[in-house]
Amino acid sequence: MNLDSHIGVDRGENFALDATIGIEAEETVALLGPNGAGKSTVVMAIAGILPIDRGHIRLGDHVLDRPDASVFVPPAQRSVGVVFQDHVLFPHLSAVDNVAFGLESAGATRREARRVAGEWLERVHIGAERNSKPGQLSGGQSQRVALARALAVQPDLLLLDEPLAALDVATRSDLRRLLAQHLAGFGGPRMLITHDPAEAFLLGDRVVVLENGRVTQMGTPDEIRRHPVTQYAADVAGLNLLTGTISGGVVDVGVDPPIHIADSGVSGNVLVTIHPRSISLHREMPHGSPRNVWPTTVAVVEPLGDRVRIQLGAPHELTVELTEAAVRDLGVEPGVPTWVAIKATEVSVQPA
Amino acid sequence: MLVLAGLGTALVVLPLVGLLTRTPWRDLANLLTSRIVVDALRLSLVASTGAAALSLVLGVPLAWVLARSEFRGKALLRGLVILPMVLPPVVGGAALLFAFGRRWLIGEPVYEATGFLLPFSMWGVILATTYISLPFMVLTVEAGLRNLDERYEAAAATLGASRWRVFRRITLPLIGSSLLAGLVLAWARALGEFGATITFAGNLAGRTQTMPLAVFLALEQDRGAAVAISLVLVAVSLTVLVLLRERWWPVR
Repeated sequence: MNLDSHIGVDRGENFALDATIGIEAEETVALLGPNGAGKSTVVMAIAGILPIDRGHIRLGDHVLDRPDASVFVPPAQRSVGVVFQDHVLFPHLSAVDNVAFGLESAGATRREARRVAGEWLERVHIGAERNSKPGQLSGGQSQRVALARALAVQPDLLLLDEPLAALDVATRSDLRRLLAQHLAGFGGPRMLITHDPAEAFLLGDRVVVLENGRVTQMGTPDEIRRHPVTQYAADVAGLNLLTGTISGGVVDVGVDPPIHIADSGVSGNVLVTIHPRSISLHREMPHGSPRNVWPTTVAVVEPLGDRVRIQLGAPHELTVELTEAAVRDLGVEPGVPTWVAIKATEVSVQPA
Repeated sequence: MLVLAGLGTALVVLPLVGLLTRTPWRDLANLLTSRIVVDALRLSLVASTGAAALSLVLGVPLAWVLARSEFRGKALLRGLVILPMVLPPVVGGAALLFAFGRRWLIGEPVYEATGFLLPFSMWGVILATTYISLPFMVLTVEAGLRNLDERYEAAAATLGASRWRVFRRITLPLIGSSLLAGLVLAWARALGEFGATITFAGNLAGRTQTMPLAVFLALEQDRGAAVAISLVLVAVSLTVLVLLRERWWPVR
């Protein structure tokens, strides 16, 4: 079962969504875009909460929405599981009743629905809170309940709208692991809406960039990261990502030199993020404060807007973003040797 | 500011004090157990409870339509529903008579067919008071529905719940406080209803004479009885308002 969609929605005079998005079975597409890009509108259209004005939405053999053929399947008949932004748990129902709600709607008896709901709560490691009301749950706990509620009805398609946005950092990495595990166990197409590139890269098999109602780029996380085609993609998604193991403020990323970081409160496996604009290049070996310094060569030089993105060669193959003036001053062009310098404070790490 | 608040308080308290100074305390027990008062109290409670219940049954769907759908003439429909709030109740009663009276629009065919006559009956009292109370229910519940985050209903729908199930299991429980507020307002308004009732249902002791009508009549004949009945109305209303206050208006 796959998702095939061309979603055209007009909202007022200033916003029109026109996005073609396909997702294969067992594939996770991360829909990445700034606020107001139309990401939530995509969720509402696929879930059937908002009928589309143009295009079509097809899930497997079922046409769910196709205005030119007057086809519109209401949300209750779509089998689309949604984990909403801010979770939207029913405030008057306990955690277990929230999860049981969908099962009962599908015809299960109350007793059976609550039994199965309890199992789902166990699966997301929140069985102890089965009788708590949403108001008594923390953000992370209610997100787990929301995930269990969406999965329990065994939908054909799973939509996750900013599932980690409202959580603190520690909870977020726990939940990201849980999400990764449950996404992998879900057999249908999966869509993750996010404005956080790290989340998109970690959880998405493919990333679709949505800006101002249009798809501006789609590709694997690596393609988006290395070759962003718009300024937005370059700014938020064109990041350098390294994975490694941290000990004593130094991250071993597999090849030398290791990366020095300033934040020593993290340990174990980490994801290292370095923004291309926080890396500087030098003709000579730089002296002074930067902790991370090594020689390399320029591999590729590509202009993007008023900046230039430079791909470096071994050992770390990072992307650097400089102004055109800086590129001229440094004489940067493919094949030229150069020195890389990164301050430890410019390197951010999060548990992977 | 405090002076004005004091004046406002005086305005609501003084009439009550006036009532209390005129209360014939010695005869009170006799007056309160008199046939007229007991009948009027019973009828008033039945009619206002009936009106509140009917307002609930008819008002919630109306509120739902007004809050959740878009159609031409919606503003007009809302205007029509609210009209009894601003119309002099006497006019409302007369209009009801022209619709349901024996010789009129709906009343005539119904009377011909069944012999059933709404005006000057207890059902007429309930109809008249419902007509006046309904807007309070509709406006309160509509406001509750508008304040309800629609995503709860959307989430329920994505979980496979039918529209009826969403309404029953999600919408209704979540607007519970609005429903209660609507019930109290409708009930209180019905309890005090005078104009439409006397015009449409008349002032027949034991059949259509509610408390306010009994007060009106008694003022002409027996001032003491009027005061006693008024006192009962005040006591009943105040008790209900105080008992429900915490759920009705959000004081914390």
